[in-house]
Amino acid sequence: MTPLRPILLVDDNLNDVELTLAALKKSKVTNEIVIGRDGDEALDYLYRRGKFQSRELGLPAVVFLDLKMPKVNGIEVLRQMKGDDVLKLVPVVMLTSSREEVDLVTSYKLGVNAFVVKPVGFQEFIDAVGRAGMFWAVVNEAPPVKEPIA
Amino acid sequence: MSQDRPVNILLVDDKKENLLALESILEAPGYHLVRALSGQDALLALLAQDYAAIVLDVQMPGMTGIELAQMVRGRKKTQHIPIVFLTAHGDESAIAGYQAGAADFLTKPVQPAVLRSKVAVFAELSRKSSALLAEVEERRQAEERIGQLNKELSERVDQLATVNAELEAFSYTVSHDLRAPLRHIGGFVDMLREECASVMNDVGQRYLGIIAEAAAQMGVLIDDLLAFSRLGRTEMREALVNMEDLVKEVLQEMATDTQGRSIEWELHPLPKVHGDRSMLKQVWVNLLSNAVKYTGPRMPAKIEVGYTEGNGEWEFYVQDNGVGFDMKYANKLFGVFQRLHAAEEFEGTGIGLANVQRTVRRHGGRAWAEGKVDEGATFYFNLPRSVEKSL
Repeated sequence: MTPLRPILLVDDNLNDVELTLAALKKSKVTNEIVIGRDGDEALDYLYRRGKFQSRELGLPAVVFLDLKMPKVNGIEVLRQMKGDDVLKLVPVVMLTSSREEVDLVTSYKLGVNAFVVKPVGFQEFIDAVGRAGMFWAVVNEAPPVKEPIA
Repeated sequence: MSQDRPVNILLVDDKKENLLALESILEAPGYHLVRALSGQDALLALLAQDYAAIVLDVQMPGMTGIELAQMVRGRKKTQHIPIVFLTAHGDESAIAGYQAGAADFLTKPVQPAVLRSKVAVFAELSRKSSALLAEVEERRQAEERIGQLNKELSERVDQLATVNAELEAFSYTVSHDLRAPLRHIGGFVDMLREECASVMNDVGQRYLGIIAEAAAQMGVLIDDLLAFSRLGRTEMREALVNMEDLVKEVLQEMATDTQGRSIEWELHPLPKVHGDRSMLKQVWVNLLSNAVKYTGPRMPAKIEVGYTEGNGEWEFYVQDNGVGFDMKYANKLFGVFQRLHAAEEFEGTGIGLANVQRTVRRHGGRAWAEGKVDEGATFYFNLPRSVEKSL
């Protein structure tokens, strides 16, 4: 059984982060969860630089990306990832507050792997996040990737 | 009309008796005859007003007829005026005359009928020409006005586009920013329940339940409001819509909601209309599900769907034998989030009818309702019957 790769969760809202962690735990997703507070930190982690320069080798199994974040937002991170020859193989799940059509279209055009709207009801939230996590981080066969060139 | 205004004819001859003779030949209600005894007088007369024709004696002392003609032709203001030469002479004058710009030559003694018909032609020409000029001026002014209106229109369109963009931005913000705290309320209430299940009593649990539901309700309201807002701004896709098929489709999709209910449907044939199919479907969904909802207490519920043809429009109706409403609140029915029943009696946010009104308005019609408490209600909406409407 291949060791579980970490999940990169990128969200600037601490409450959302806490709820997502609780949801993943309830759904028995046991991968290590790395938190990025915004787009910059997400990219720092992926490229192994800044405060993440000594992270363990190995890219995450999936990136859960919030859309609206300060500095570098979700769409920007998505664009950079899908524009990088190595990073584009890492699955990205947009996890966001609303399904504004313009966001949906842009994200899919950029090559997002999934788009999940965070439900307001907590039970549904657990279901949605838990299932997405379980699928992408555990069930799905993640593509084999080396480290990207920073 | 210029037909009624007399045209000016200038008569030039150095002999008074000739002028008198000309006048008596040409005297007519449509002509205003002006005399000139010399080339100079003629030029002065020409300065004062416009003439339909000049009848001119070739042989004059001082400025000859030919010289006068050349002067008339030489001036921009008068060069268009046709000149009829009257001459006692033979051909040599003729050639010089035509070269000077005569429109016609008549030898004296002049045959009255001939002179009259020649002058008549020029008079008619002059009238037509004036009429044409007047029309051209009218058109020019109209075009100017149109240009102005178009400018105002395009400014309005720009303003509208700006407002729409602002609304779009507003909706987007509402969408994201209002939902997050709601989610947190719901989420942490649930987690609180779990954490403190052992130490919380029933009252505490109940309070938590109310908080969670309120948050959920707010989520629904936000969704409804956003959908309503979007309804005003989406582009309409017009086609010929078979209303009867549409209603049948809606009823089929409602089958699960109406399971176990005893409802008597009376569905009359419905016409085909021009409109946006998915928007019109939503109108039926709203009206029919309302009818189903508010006939809940009835056994059997009776719901009738039909239409009447009015003045250039179709009037559709959905009539039910449900709980009805008090007519004095009729104008509130179609307001946003307006309800006439308490939430415990009938669920709903009160946006359905507002959506109906908005959609129907966008199609050029309107919606209204009639009802009586406990005696059912009828909801109407009309659509104009024009073919090829641009929406």
